[in-house]
Amino acid sequence: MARVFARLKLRLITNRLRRSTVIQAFGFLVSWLLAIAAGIGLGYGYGALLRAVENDLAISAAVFSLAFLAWLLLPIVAATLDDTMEARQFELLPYTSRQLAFGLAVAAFVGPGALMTILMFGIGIGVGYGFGLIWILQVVAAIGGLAFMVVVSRWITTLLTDLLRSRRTQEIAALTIVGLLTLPGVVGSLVVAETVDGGSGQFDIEAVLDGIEPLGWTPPGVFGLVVDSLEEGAWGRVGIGVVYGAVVLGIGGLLFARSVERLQTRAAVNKRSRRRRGGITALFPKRYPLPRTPVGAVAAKELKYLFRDSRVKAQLIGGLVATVVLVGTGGAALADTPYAPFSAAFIGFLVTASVIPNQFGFDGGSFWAYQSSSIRLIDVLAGKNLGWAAVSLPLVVVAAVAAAALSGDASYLIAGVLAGVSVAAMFTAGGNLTSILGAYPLPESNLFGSRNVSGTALIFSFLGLGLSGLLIVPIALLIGIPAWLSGPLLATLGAVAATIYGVGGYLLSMRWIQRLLESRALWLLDTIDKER
Amino acid sequence: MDVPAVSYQGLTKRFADTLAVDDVTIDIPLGSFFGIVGPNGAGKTTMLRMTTGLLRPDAGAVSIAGRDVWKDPATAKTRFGVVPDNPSMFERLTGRELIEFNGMMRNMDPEVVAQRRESLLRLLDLTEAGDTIVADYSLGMTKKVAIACALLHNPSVLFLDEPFAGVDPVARQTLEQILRRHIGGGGTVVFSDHAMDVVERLCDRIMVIDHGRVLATGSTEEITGGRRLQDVFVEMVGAQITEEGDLEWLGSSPD
Repeated sequence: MARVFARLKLRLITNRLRRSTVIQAFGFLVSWLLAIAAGIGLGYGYGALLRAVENDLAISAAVFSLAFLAWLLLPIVAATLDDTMEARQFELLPYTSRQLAFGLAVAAFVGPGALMTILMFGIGIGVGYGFGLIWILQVVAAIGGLAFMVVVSRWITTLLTDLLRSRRTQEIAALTIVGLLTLPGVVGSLVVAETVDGGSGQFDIEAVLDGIEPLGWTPPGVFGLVVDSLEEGAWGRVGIGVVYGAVVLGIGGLLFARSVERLQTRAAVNKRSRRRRGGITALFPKRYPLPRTPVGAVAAKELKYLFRDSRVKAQLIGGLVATVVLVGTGGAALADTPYAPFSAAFIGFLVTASVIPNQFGFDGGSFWAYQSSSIRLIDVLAGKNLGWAAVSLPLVVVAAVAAAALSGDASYLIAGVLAGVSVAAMFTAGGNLTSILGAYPLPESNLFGSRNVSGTALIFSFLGLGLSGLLIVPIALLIGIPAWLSGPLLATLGAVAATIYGVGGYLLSMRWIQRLLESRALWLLDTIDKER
Repeated sequence: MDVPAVSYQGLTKRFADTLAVDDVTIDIPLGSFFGIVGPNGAGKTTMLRMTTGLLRPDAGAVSIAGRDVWKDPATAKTRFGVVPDNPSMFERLTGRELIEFNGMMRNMDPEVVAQRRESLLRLLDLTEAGDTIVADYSLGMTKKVAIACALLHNPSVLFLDEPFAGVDPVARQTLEQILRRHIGGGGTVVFSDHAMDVVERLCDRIMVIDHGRVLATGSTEEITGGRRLQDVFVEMVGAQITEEGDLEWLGSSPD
């Protein structure tokens, strides 16, 4: 049984490699190498931490908990390189739900995620605790932990697959995912707030470690506790930990099997069809004076999607919530200074970054409609940019005004707004390029993203983000240096120059991108249409 | 001499070792109801995708009403409408919004778009459903709204890939009426389908294709010669008859 699923997974991986183009195969191999490199790097990091501090239990519990969190969240929110097998693909085969859950969990072990995790644990434990006979037992315990992570991760994604068949729950799931994503930030900031010494403002590492030590008694952390207890020779704790770990692994497996059975035997329910209220629907919103042109039509469609598509809604709300969390914690120091309006630049970056890098991917299988009509793809891209600007730019202005009001000094207001606009424009330019070179399908009604993103797309996404980051540096310099040297007046002049740079750069990039789009149109169609 | 509605000149497409479309040269006259039939994997969809600008041919040319699809795509695309098999639409728009979106994408006058949209919705019996999200449509409704989008700019040629697959008899009747009306107004319809009875009943010209090669083309009467199209088709593509002995196990008790 285990062998059947493991071989099937290997066959899926090799088949994908076989049908790839040379550059796709290169991207695929690079992504696996990156997973190996990350596993080794994280392993050495884990080991170095163990050697650097006294409280090994806290470090191991934290590492296992963080790995668990990554296994929980990444398959939900990130497009993955893995050829994940889904329960629904096997629903007509004569397997019981428990057999199927077991097989799917085994298959999940064959992939870059599991390889990276095993490398991290194996190397980290060896470097930190030493490579001896005990190391073998510790690695066995770590593999048990990985099994728990895999099973719970598959349980959550299967549960969500079931829930997401109902369109109403797609909306709820989108917001839940946003909540899950912000959780680490909120918890992290609370831990930091609790552990910073009020008198000196110094970061007390021992207090932090003491604070996180109880993680060793949480379901994922207990595997870290067993790893540490094996080294300590605390056999009583090892025994309790092993029993506890076996119980949580068993419960996870049962829950996964139950969700598999539910998915296979329960029909999707869409209780009501969504008829728009308020008379005859029209494409163009009344409140935004969008041009009645192809560009305006695409912008209008994007605005409709903003409120109707869970993927876009989740991205936008995620960007906003993350902003509030980050500004509320890390940016608190800025609030009392006249520089507060510059938080608008940060808002511009976050809101733009959340959607811009894969704009065509959001169209999924509908992309053919552009290609078979007479609209130019550059107009489609411009329309998408316009639609998103209609949302992000008002947010930038509101953020700048609110921050200025809170700081009680409006002297940097104009510079702040212009900084936000320049950042958004330049990031959009970089995002447009990434959308063309690193497009991957993200079909509608799919919050999991694509299961088979080519490694090339991932590499271009990283490159695009890096490039966009570099392009923003001159904006920071143009405004920051005058603000630091002279004050608001010179900073405003610098901001005008930054806006010319940002908006001008965007317009220039569109001329170049037009030629790129013409040559890449059919590649885009082929790439984005794959999920149909 | 009339310019043909669609003209293929040596159209060829290869996928790795497979020759999907092999040197197809054929003219489709204006005002014809043209059916493309062939077994699965014959190259029908590949041909339609190359015709509608969705797949670049390796060799040859295709022109719509005299305009080369690959040399002058902007003009050629104003002259045809297309409904692919299992069309994926912008499903978060309502039917009305989707049709309007398609019209505006083609830079049409907003007033003309509104006028035509309402008459198409009425004709397709979608007036009530016009304000419902397309994601909530049945397959038949989705195909109807896709045809409305394809017809909105009044194209001279309409390409449809298996338009009747999965469509109930009532919706099928409506679609047939609309296609006939399009032909009646001087338009041309090119469609592929597996339902031989539908092709035989609707089309005045037929092309039989297999392994990317055109096996026969001509008027329906020429192709069928008074026989059923189904029989002629099976004969042409050479259906494989399984020896009875191969399937002795079928229907016996499972092990």
